[in-house]
Amino acid sequence: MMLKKLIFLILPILLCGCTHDMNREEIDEIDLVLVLGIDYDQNEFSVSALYSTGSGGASGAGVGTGKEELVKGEGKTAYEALENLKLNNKKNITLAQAGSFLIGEAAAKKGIDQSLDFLKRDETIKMEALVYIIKEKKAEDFIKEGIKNKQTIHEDLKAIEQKQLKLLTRNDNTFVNILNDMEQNYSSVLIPYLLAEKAGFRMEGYAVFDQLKLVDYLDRETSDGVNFIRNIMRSYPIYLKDEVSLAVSYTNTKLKASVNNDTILVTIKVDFETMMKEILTKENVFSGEELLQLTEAQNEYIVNILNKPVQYSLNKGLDILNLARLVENQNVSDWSTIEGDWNNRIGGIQFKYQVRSQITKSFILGNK
Amino acid sequence: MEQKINSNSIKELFAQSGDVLVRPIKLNQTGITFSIFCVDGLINSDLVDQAILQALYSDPYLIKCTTQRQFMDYLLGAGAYHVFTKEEAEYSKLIKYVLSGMVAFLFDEEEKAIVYDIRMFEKRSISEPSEEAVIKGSKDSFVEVMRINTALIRRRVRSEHLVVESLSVGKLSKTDLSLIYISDIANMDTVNKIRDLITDIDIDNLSTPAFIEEFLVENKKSLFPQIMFSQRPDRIAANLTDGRIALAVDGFPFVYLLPCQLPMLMQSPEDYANHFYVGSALRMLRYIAMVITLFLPAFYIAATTYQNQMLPVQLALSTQAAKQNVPFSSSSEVLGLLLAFEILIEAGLRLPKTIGTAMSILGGIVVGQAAVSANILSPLVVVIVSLAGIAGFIVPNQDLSSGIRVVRFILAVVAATGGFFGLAIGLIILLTHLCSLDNYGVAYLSPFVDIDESNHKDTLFRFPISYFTKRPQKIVPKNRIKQTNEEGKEV
Repeated sequence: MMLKKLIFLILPILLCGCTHDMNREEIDEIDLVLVLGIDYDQNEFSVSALYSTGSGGASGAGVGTGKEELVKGEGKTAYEALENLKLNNKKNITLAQAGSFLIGEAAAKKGIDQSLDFLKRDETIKMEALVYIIKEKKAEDFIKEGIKNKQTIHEDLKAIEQKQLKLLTRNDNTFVNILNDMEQNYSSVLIPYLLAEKAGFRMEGYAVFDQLKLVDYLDRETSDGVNFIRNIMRSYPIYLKDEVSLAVSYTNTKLKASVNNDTILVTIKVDFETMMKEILTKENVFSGEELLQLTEAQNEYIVNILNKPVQYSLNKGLDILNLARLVENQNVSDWSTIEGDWNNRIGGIQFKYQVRSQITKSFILGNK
Repeated sequence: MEQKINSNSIKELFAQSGDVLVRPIKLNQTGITFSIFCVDGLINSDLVDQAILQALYSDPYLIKCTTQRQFMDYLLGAGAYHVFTKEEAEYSKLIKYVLSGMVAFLFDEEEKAIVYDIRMFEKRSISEPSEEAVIKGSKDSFVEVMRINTALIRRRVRSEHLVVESLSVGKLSKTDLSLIYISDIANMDTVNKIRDLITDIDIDNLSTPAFIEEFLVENKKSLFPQIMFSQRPDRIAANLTDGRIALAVDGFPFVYLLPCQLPMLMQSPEDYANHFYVGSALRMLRYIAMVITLFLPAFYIAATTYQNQMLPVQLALSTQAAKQNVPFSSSSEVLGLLLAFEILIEAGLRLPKTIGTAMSILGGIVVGQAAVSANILSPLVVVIVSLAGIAGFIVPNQDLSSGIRVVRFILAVVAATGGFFGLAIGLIILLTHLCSLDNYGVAYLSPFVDIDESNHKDTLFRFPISYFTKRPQKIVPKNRIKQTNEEGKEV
């Protein structure tokens, strides 16, 4: 009985104590930041927050989810910029609903660790928020351009995410994934970059980071090769020269790393299935011989795609395929000797491709 | 020393009661005098007049009776036929019999009486159960007369082991109770314990259900019902065969069941009338509805006041937009609307049916719509509270539903104080409380917390009837086998 009384006495105290640091804010009394842009210019960081004003809110915007507004803060660090942003804004802001973090090119070159550090210490941040690099632009300008073009930026970014998921099995550019990748000392961090176009935004490929600083952008095909090797490709079109187009419907990539006499050999084994999507030739492509030729042609096509990130990695000496972890995991005893010299060894890694594929029939309307 | 039976003393006792009759009658043939003692309105006076008194006046054999003893023997033998005829010498018992509606012939010289059970009073006919109506199932329900209720049960359980023990509670009301169980199935320790609890009840009057319920439950402070009631004889019969103990109280149009566990309260007779997939789906729906009704208002408060990141972006934006011009905080809105909802329910119950419907429309639709239009409430709060309210009505047991309504308030207040953290603490306390409840040696959350998997076949999901091979272990320690498998072996 005494214990019960004690519990009932302690509980409110505990409740009040624990809620002391909790922000009790009505949802209509705060601005929900949907997109956060981080830039670096003239030795200062700037943080731009895009939020929706809501119906009949402070700005007196229209009905529905309201119009999007941008607020900016500047400071010596990204955190200081955010705090200044909070001071500048009429209402309190929350980053809890932010679904996208856009990092301007200059900020990315300065280092993503400096841009993202203040976010990883915020318990309200969504771990699955997506991180993008803005190519050749400041994130603020990118957002402003979107507003000028009357785009609903957070919805357009959501559309990009959905489109990505149509092609890939998962989005690897989530905030938590990027933070994990940043912990890998020997591999490059890859973050998708965005281009602003009049019709909307476009995701072209990956931005490559070395020592957490932006160094390069991969073109589309090289980025596709990365996706194949990462085994996240869901669907991919193949255009063969002999007027046949196919679409990859299933793919499975396995990587194997072996160390032999200081030589690292990485075997990339890809199994995939395709479906005929377009046949413009009058030849019967479904004959056994033709199918065999098509299969070989599509294998060659995919090998070419795979070869692009591999060659990039070898030429630039950057581990964009996250091979360090693979070699470490599969060759634990050898890793200790390789570890210290990994950056120099990347250029000497040997690659072997084992590509197997199958063409499946697709649905045909009509007689043919 | 007990008082002796005497017509004058009885007359004196009830001198101020106009409905109690003590009327002397002298038989012309023999000169024997006796008194009729009864309560007007409780007896079938036609039967007394025609079948007993008239027959006695014209009976030629009576001339041979010269003493009251002889006359009594004659009556008890063949003089007045009746199923229930009893010679009574105890004064207190006689008073009890007569006040319960029997008629007594008082014989002063012998200081004894003969009692005839010719009770007849106005009673409601058996109708469809109002609270537990089913589409596919029997349509009869209990009435306010205990004996009819016990008969309805016996009609369904024709076992010679069905015991209907008669008990009485209330120093003044002397309300009849029947403790009903199947002697070779029920746990006799539980039966004895319930009997002891009933006999220990020392109250004047058993007028409302709480007067007996509170004496039979072990944790009186709990909001969760620990005694189940049912209006349906088929449900009581099914639970009796499962080893539970029923308690019928004269004047109550339902029968109690003990021991009671939470899963029982979430079951409906309809579950067993439908295909087991349908029954399971309905049962799952009820549990989901229970979670919605308990937590949805609290979740809304916590999400809109503390942890808005719990809401998907679009929902957060539309919630924000809907709340823009509302002057009240989310917690005030929800708690206020919950209170208004309870007021509407209470008002609807007290008003006549026709006005009640009009008031529900006025209160629910007109006032609700007007409040939203006037920016007093946000539309989302109306949706949340309505959804929680409607979900609460899916819970089949009214007592549980009422308990949940109170807990819903508490959780909403806790969420308003501490957000999801407070809600989590509230949930922990709720679960701890439910786990701590014990009902006649059976855990309240049984069979969820039982190790024996045979008990789990009628909980969240309703398995096919052929799977119900054993009775719940905690309720029936012995004689657990309900049915054998296809090979005739016990499962």
